[in-house]
Amino acid sequence: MKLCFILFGCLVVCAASAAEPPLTQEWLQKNYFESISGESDQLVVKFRSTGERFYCAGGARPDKVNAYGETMPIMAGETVTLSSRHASLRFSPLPKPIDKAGFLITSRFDATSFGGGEGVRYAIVLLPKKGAPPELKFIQPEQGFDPALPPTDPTFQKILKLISDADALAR
Amino acid sequence: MACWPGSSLLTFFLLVLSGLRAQAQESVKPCSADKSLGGKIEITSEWIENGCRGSIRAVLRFPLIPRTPQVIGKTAIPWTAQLASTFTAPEVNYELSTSGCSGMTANNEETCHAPGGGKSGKAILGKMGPLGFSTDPHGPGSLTFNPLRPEISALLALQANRDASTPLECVAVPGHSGSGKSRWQFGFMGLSIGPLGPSCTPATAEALDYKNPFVICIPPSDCSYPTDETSRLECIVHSDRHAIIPFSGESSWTSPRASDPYHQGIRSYTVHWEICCGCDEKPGPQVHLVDPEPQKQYTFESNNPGTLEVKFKAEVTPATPDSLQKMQDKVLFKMGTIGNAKMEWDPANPGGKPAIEGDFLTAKLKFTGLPVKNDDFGEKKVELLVDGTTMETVPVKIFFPKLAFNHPGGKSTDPNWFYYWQEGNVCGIAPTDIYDGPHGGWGYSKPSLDSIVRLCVLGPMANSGPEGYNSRNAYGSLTVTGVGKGIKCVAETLEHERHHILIYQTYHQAIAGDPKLDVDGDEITAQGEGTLDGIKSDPANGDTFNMGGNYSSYGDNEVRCREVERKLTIKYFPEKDWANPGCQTLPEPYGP
Repeated sequence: MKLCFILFGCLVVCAASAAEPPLTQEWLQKNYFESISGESDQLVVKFRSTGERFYCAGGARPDKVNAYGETMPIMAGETVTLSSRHASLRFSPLPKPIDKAGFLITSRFDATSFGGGEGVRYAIVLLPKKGAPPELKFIQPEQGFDPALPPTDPTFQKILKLISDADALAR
Repeated sequence: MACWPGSSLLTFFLLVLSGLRAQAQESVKPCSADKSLGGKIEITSEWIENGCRGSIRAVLRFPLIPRTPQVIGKTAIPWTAQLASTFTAPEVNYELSTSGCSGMTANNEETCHAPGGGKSGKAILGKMGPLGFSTDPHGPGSLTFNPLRPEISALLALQANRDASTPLECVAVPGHSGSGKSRWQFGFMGLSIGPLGPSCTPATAEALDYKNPFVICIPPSDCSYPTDETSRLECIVHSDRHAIIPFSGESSWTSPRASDPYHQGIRSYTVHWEICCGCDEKPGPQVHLVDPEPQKQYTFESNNPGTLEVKFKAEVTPATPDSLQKMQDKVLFKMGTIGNAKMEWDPANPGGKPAIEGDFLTAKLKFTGLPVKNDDFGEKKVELLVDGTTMETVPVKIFFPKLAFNHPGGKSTDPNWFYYWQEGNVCGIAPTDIYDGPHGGWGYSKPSLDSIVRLCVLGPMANSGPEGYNSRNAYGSLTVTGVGKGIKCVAETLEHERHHILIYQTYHQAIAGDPKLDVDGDEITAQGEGTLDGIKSDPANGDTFNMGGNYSSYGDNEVRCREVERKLTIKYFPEKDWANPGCQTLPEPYGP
C-alpha cells in the first residue's frame, strides 16, 4: 500500500515536471523577475513592479517580503528561498568544490489546493567568471537528474566540464 | 504669620465656656499622648548656577506645641484656646541632599559640575517656659503653625553656610580658556504657606528667586481673614470647628525663566506638607521593588521542558546593614502561578524570603515546564510584602517562544504558536487543522481528500500583500492578498485555503461530469467566473489577471482566494497572542 502511494506521488511529480516548461533565464524573467543577472560572486535579481511578491528567507538578510522593483543580491554560497502562496523558488549552492560557481535552482508548485498535484523543476545557473562578460549560463538537468548532484550524476559531470572549459578559455 | 488682637479676659471666658460646648459637636480633637501633633515638609527643587543644573531636596520633621502655656496657675487652657493660638516647633529634624549639578555655561564656553552631597541633623529652635515658648536667639529661626488661617511659617535657615554645599567647578571647553570654582549650596532658607490675601499674593509667590524662601499661597478658609468682629469671634470661640488639622497639600511651581540659559537661581519646586497627629514621626526603613519593573516581559526558554527565571530586587532606604537586615526578615516576594508550570524558589530564598545582595534584597524564582493552556500566559502579579501586607504590586507579562517546540500537549512536532493559537482559539485554527512544517510555504489544503487546512512554517510570519494584478483588457485590475503578520497572517491563510476548499466543493463535481463547463481549467465554471467573489474573469482564460508562471491555468482561482484574504471574516484576537515575538511583545510587536 505504502509503495503504491510513493509510486503515485512520483507519478504526480514527474507528470507535473514533464508538463512544465524548462527553468530558463527567459522563463524566470517572464514570470518572477524584472531581470536576473550575475557577477562573479553573486546573482542579482530585480523584482517586478507589479504582480506577485515573495517572502524572501535565507542568506545574510533578515527575512522579508520583497518590495516592488527591489533589487536583491544572492551571494555565492547562500541558500535563499522565495516563497509565494503555492510556489517557491530556491537558490542553493552547488556541491563543493564548485559551491561558489553558481546555484542549483529548485522551482516547486503545489496545486493540491486547486485539486491538482505537485510539481518540481530544476536548473543550474553558473555565474560568470571574474573579468568575463556578465552572462549567466543556465543548464537544464540531464535525464535521471539527482538534485543532490553526486559526482556520478551526468548533469554534475556536465557542469564540471563547462567550468573546466571556461577556466581553460580564461587562461 | 497670624497677628491676632490680644486675648481679653472676656474672650478667655467665652473660650472656656464655648470650648466645652463645641466639644459636643464634630470638632478637631487634641492628639493622643503617643501621637502628638507634628509636621513634615518635603521640598524638591531644581536650580541653575552658571549653567550648572541640579536638584536639591529638603525634608523637615518637627513636633508642634502651643506657643502659650497649657496651664496657667492651676487652670488648664482649653483646647479651643490652644487652637485659636499658634503652634510652634521646639526643634526640627532635617535631611538636606542634592544630586549635584552639571551643565554648560550660557556662552557654551565652560562645562560645570558639582558632586552630590547630603546633611542631616536636628536644630533646636527654642523651649517652653512658664510664660510660654521662647525662641532661641542663637538658633536658626522659628517654625510656626496657625491652624485657623491655616498657615505654616518657617523663618528658618538650616545649614545656610558652606557646610551644606559641594564644590562647583567650571572648566573651559576646547578652544576656550578660563575656569572657575565656587560652591553648589543645598541649605534650607525658609518657607511660607499661607492663605491667599493681603499677606500672600501671587506676586509674593512669584517673587521667588535665588535664596528667597519658598512662598505658597493656598485658598483662604473662612477664618483666614474674618471680615467682622462676629466672624472673628466665631473663629475664636469655635476654633475646634474651624481649625484645619490635619493640614496637608502639595504645590508645584516653575519659573517662567526655567529654560533661560542665563537665568540664575531656582527653576522649579514641588513642596509637600502635612500637619497631623504623628506626622513628625520618622518612618522605619523603606523598601521599594526595583525589579521587575511594571510591564516587564518574560519568555520561557526554548529548552524542553522550558524554564523561566524571575529575578526580584528591592531597594532599601537607607541601605545600612541594620536596615537591610531588619527588612530581610520582614520582606517576602510573591508571584502568581503560570498554569501548571512548576514553581520553585531558589534555595537561598525559601518561600520568597530575600537574600541581601549589596544594597538590595534579592530573590530568584524558577518556573519549569510551559503551561497547557494559552490563557495561562499573559499578565501576572509580582508582589512585595512587608510583614505579610502587600506593599507593592507590579504587573508583568509572560510569553512563550513562538517557534520553539516545548509545549506540553498535542504533537511534539507542532511548534508552540500552532499549539497555543489552536488551543486558545486565537486566530481561527480549527481543531481538525494540522501543522505540516516540512512542506514549506504558508499553508495548503487537499480539497480532493478532506477539508483540513495544513499550516506551514510561513503561516505565522508575514503575508505578501498587497499585490496588484492587471488583465490588460476589459477585465481590469485587482489589488489582492492580505497584509497580516503573526496571528492575522494565520487567519488570512486559513481564509485563503478554506476558499479553495469551497471553490472545489462548489464546482469540481460538476466540472468532472462535464469538462466543457470549465474550458480554461481553473476549476471554476464559466458561470462562476462571471460572479464569484464579485470578480469577473475570462471563462476562456485560466489566468485573466496575468498572475503568470505557475498560475497560467489556476490564476482565476488563486486570485479569488487572495481577494478573500483582504475581506477577512475569520476572527483573530491580538489580546490573546502570548507568543514572543507576537502582537503584545514590546518594543517591537509582531502583528497583527
